Amino acid sequence: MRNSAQQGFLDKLAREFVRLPGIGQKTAQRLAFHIMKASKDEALRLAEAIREVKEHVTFCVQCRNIAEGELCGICQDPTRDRTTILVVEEPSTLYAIEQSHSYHGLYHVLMGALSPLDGVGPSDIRARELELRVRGGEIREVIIATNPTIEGEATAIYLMKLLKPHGVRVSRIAYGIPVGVDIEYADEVTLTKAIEGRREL
Amino acid sequence: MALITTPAIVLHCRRWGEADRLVSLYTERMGKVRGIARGARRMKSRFGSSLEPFTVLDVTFFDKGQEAQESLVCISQADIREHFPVLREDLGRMMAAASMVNLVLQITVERDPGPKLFTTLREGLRSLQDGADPSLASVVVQLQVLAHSGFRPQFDHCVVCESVPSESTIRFSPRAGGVVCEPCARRSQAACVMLSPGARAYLVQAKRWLVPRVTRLKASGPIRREVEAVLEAYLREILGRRLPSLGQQDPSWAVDPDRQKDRSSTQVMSPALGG
Repeated sequence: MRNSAQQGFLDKLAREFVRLPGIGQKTAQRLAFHIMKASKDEALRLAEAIREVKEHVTFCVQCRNIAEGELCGICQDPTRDRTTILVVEEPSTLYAIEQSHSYHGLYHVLMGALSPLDGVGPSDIRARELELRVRGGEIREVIIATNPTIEGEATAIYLMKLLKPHGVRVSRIAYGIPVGVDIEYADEVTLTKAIEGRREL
Repeated sequence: MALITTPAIVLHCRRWGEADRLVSLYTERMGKVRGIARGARRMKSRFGSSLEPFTVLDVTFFDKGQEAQESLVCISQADIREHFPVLREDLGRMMAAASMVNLVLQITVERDPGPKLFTTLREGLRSLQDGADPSLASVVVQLQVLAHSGFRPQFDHCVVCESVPSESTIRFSPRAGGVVCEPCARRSQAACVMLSPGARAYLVQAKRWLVPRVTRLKASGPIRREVEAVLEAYLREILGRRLPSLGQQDPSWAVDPDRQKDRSSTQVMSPALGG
C-alpha cells in the first residue's frame, strides 16, 4: 500500500513534466527520478523558483516583455537607445535577439501576428499600443522583426502603413541565407530574398 | 504504409510541438491532406520556406492509409515548383489568396481527389501574382471552387420554379442556393440578398470564365460590392460560419477604409422588406 502511494506521487510528478513542451513520457520519468534522488534542498529550490515565477513575473506595461514589476529591465535601463524600437511577435524572440548583443534599443512585443488565414486582425495584437508609443515623439526608427512567414509579412506590411505617417523610419530585418550553410541547399524563396537584399561591399 | 509524391498547394500551416509544423495541403492526387513536417521551424530545416501558404510544390509523404488511426501523413520532402512573391508583399493580394485557400480548406473533405479544383486554385494564385484585380479574382475562383465541390449557386433562373426573374431587383436566397423570383421569395420567407441585373449578369458570366483570364476582368464599385455580398452570404449559409477573412472582420485594417464602411451596409433583406 505504502509502495503504491509512493509510486503515485512519482507518477503525479511525471505527469506534470509530460505537460511541458518537448517532454515525452520517458524524459518525464527520468526527470521525476532525478528529483527523487536529488537532495531535499535542490528539489525545493526548483519548487520555489516555479512559485516565484508564477507569483512575481508579469508583463511590462510598456513593451510587454517579461517583467518583475511594472516595467521590464530593458525599459528601465537608462543606457538603452530610447529612439529605436524593435518589434517582435513573442517575448521568446526578444530573448533570442538579446542573446546576440547586437541591438541596444527598446522593444515592443506584439503578443501575436496578423493572420489572413485565421482571421487574426490588428485588434488582436498590440499594434495600437505601438502606434501610441511612436506618437509620443521620442522614437525615430521602428525595426520590424516579425517572422518571415505569411503572418509575419502581413504584420510587417500593416505596421509599415500604420507607422509611416508618423514620420518615423520603418525598417525590416534582413532575409537570407543562415550563416554556416551551403548556398546550394537554400530554397528558391530564400535565395530570391537574399539576392534582393544584397548590399554593397 | 505508402510513399506518395504528388504536386500540392499549401493551404495552411501552423506551429506544432517544439519545432514542427502541421500543414494542410491540397494535393493533385489525393485532394486535401494534413501532415506533420518534423523540424520545419528550425533555422536549418530541409523544408526551408517550401511549406509557406500559397506555395505550389512537389511533396513526398508517408501515408498510413485512411483506415489508420492517425490520419496525419508524415511529410518527408517538399520541393518548390512555383511561388508567388507578390502575395507576400501586397496585403490586398494576400487577403484574396487567403480567401481562396480558406474556402478550399473549409469546403473539401480529406482524401477526396479533385484535379479540377487543384488546377482552379493554382490558376487563381497565378492570376493574383500576374496582376488580376484581387477582389474579382477571388470571387471568380471561389465560384469555380464551389462548382467543383458540388455547391454551384444558380443565377440563370429561379431556383424554386425555374422561371427567369424579370424584376429590376433580383433576390438571391443563400438558403435556396440561387436567385428566386418575387412570388417564390415571399412564399419561402427566407432572407435574401438584393441583386441588380448587372450584378446577376456578372455572376452568370463569372461561372463560365477561365481563371487565367480573370486578369482582364473589370467591374464597377456597386456591382463589385453586390457580387461580394452574395458570395459572402452564400458561403456563410453552406459553411455555417463566416470565412476567416481579415478585411471583413476588422475595419481597423484600413487597407481601404471606405470599402469597409460600404461592406458593413450591405443589403440583406427578408422578402417582406425587399418587396
